[in-house]
Amino acid sequence: MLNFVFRRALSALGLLFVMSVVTFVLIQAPPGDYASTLKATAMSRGGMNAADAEMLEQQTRERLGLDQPIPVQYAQWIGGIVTRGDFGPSFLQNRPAASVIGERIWWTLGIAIACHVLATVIGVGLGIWAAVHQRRFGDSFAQIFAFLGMTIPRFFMALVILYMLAFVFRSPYIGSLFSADYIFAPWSFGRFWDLVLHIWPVIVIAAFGGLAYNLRVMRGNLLDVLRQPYIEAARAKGLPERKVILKHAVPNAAHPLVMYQGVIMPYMVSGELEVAIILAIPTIGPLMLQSLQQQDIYVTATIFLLLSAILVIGNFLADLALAFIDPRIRHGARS
Amino acid sequence: MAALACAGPWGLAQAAGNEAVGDKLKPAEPIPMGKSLQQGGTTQVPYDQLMQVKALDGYSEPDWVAELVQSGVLPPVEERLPAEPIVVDTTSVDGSGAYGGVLRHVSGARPQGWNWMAGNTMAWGGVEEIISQCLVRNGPVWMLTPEKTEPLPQLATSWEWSEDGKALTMHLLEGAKWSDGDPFDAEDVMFMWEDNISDMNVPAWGRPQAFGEGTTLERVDDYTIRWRFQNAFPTATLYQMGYQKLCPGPSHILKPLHPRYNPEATYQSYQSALRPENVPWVSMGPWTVTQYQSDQIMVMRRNPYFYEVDQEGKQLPYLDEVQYKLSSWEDRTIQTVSGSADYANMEDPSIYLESLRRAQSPDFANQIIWGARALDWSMYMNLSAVCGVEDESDLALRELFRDRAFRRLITQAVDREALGQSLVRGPFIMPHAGGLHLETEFGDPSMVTYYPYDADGVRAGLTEMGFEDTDGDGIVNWPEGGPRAGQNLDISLLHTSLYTTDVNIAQSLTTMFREVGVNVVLRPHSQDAEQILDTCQWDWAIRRENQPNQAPILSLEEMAPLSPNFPKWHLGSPDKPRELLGFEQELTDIVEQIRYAPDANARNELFRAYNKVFTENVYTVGLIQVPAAIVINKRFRNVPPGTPIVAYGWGEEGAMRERFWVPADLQGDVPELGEDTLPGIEN
Repeated sequence: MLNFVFRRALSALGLLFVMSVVTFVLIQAPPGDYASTLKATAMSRGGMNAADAEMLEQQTRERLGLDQPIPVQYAQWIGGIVTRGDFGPSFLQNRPAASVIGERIWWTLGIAIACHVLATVIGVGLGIWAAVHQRRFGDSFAQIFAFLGMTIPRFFMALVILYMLAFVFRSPYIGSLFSADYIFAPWSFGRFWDLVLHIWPVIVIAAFGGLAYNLRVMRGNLLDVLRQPYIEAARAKGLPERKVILKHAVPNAAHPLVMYQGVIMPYMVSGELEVAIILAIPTIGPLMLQSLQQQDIYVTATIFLLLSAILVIGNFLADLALAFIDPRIRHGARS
Repeated sequence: MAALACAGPWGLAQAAGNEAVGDKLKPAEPIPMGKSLQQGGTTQVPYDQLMQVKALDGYSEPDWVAELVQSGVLPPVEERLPAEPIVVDTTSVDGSGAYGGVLRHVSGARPQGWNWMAGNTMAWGGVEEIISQCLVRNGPVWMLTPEKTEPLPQLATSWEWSEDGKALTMHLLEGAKWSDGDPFDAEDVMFMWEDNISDMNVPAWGRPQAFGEGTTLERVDDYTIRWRFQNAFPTATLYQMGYQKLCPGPSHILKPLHPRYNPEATYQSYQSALRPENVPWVSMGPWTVTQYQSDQIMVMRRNPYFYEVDQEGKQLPYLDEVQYKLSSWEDRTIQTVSGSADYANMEDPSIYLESLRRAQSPDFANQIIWGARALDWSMYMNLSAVCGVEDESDLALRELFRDRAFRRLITQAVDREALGQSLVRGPFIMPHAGGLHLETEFGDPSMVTYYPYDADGVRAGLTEMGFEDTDGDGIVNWPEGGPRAGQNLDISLLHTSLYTTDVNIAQSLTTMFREVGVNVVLRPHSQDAEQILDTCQWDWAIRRENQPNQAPILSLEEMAPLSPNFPKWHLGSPDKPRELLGFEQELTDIVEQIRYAPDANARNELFRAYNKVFTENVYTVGLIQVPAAIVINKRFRNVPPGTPIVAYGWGEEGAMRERFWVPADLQGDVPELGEDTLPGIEN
């Protein structure tokens, strides 16, 4: 088992390395860099004349090391991470990328976990209910619900909710985590409730897709299991239907969902990012978009690295869980 | 003006033939003029009335500030103000206002720190005009009456030229103080000039040569400085002494952080020293930052030492607080229209009708204040014969664009009325002939040569030039004898895909050009369109212009090929200088005259002459002119009618926020976060 863990950890690290190289090269692929973005900003917003802007661009490129070849820039970035835990600077905010991202990552993860829990609890519950009520009104309703959840793009849902909140309901709870008067206030129930009022659209939309997936998988698997002979045997023994479903059928139908937990986090995070961008909630999503647009390369690269790490770690943990319960996996399934 | 032939050697019509091309087309006609959308006209105030430097009989302040004076934590208002403060006129708007109230902004940018002299940005969206005050003030110039338009006083209150015109003596605001009570004087200005702008290690927003080669600045006494220029009367340089350029920071705080005065400091530490969370920040502005929460909000409170008063002696600003929510630019519009924020620029024609429809409702929170038709979309043709030209085939295309006859054909292939109506129905959009805007203080229809839509004439003109559809596919083919002989006339059109309007215009143009036999291939790009323009790897490009065509005095170097970087549609390459077209020298000469023109009237005459040459030669293919509006909550007073979203500055500054006020009964609508507090004052 230890050998297996070691091999998987090594390959996870290798994968992270490859992903970091690929993302770093990709984000540098478009023409221009932060210095040229700054030049454009200096001219359009700062009203700087062309000659000065050109000089500012050159100086900025030299100061920030953007005139170095990409492999050198990459080596400096990854070297800083490995040796000092330094993820490079955010040019846009003039402070370390880690600090810019650090302020937002906990909100992102918190929202993603909340979405995950909701999607799992409600999705599985609805899936069980739909399977048990197969071909009845409730089942059809749940199927339509799942269909909508899996097919409506999250950004579209976000746009609709934003429109309704802003222009129909004139809600003051848009585009932030807290109302102005709660931003500097200490935690209290009032502050928590204010947060809920701001954040529910992100959670609802991001959870909706995952919920629909859980519902469909749970319903399908449970229907399969409910046709198994041992379920009939349980019923024949006179067990109450509730016990048959929850004790014998559901645990056996939940395997695919358990396996799915390893990769669900990146899905939830990406859902949160998409919605947060539209709703302007200060999590990683809007930061990622802004850093991409304005070529704040170390912030972009660090966010991609972080998302890759979440994916790799999730898969790693899922593999470990599988290996723990299934010896064929840890022994390479040779037999 | 005679047609300037620049025909290539590949069988295209020569000079005489080009004249014949013109004969096929409808002649120039007066440009269609639209009714202005500005309600109540434009605010017009004489220069000497808008801002005066003089002592008044007495001064007053908000009651709660007077209480702080009574309690001894603050000097009396007379001592906090300069002996001769700047008296701002409010009679031209709604009059002297009530103290109190909050203005809520949303910004999509983030502050890097407060040391703007070292290249830090301060979140944009009007933050920088509040926190950094400059020698002169450009933003409100748009509302001055034509007999005198020049920069307004700010930290420099007056200036006079020497007899030979090579020295400019400026008098500083005597007795003014920073928001912490430290005196402002020439030391602050000289620190900015010598240790920031002139220190190449500091990534400043401007360098000395922006004020002309060889320009120097010296301190005469505590409240007098003197500029020396190599050429006489560079009057346009005054405009370079405003927004973002000559805006001193507090030397009493920054000097100890500068490596020249502190051996332990580095240039990096100097640039990064004043973190955004370093509040309250010290400013000369009407408000200064007192609370900051990263990615969420900046709160600014009134500066008790601000140097402006109204004509009744009330110390400005009227509003106690400004909030800047840190979100996204898209969110700014959404929050403002929904009433959660108070101010935004409306510059996307696709939302005009919907916004006006909503504004009909009495419970709509905002007023929409239309400015001039000051946004325009134009199409550039790449006129460079050297930059981005890799072979004879590229050169053939560029030589075609350099032919005025061809440019005229292309401009007359555009149905501008249809283009405008396809974007938004109604009286919003007008044809644009290229160049400067008509709705400026120098605008006059006679300065425009407008070539009307004429598809039949264009088809005949192309035939005259030798382009015929030889393969029957609806697209004309290049004439025999050149590297593109027999090929379709295919031209790529670069445009940004970030904005709906640009995409719609590009698609409409494709259809219009196809009707005359020109195949335009769309080349959408997102962030990198600007970089592609700089590398010359493009044929045609669509771009939105605003400030350079509305207030060209601020961007003279962009108007003609004076510097290697402009105009964008005619760049040279590092090893080959660009080959100027005949009229380009004429444009350059006019711009040089503008730089040294003694007064606004002479300058305006030259601007009109410039635009005539520009449009006659179809230097760019103008498309449409569009008005813009500011959206501001109805509770504010003293918002000048006709405020442009951008002219001599952005609308936030052009509107003069320090004289905004809110009637007392409406102030409770938005509570103050720092009620009864002043920056740095314990109470």
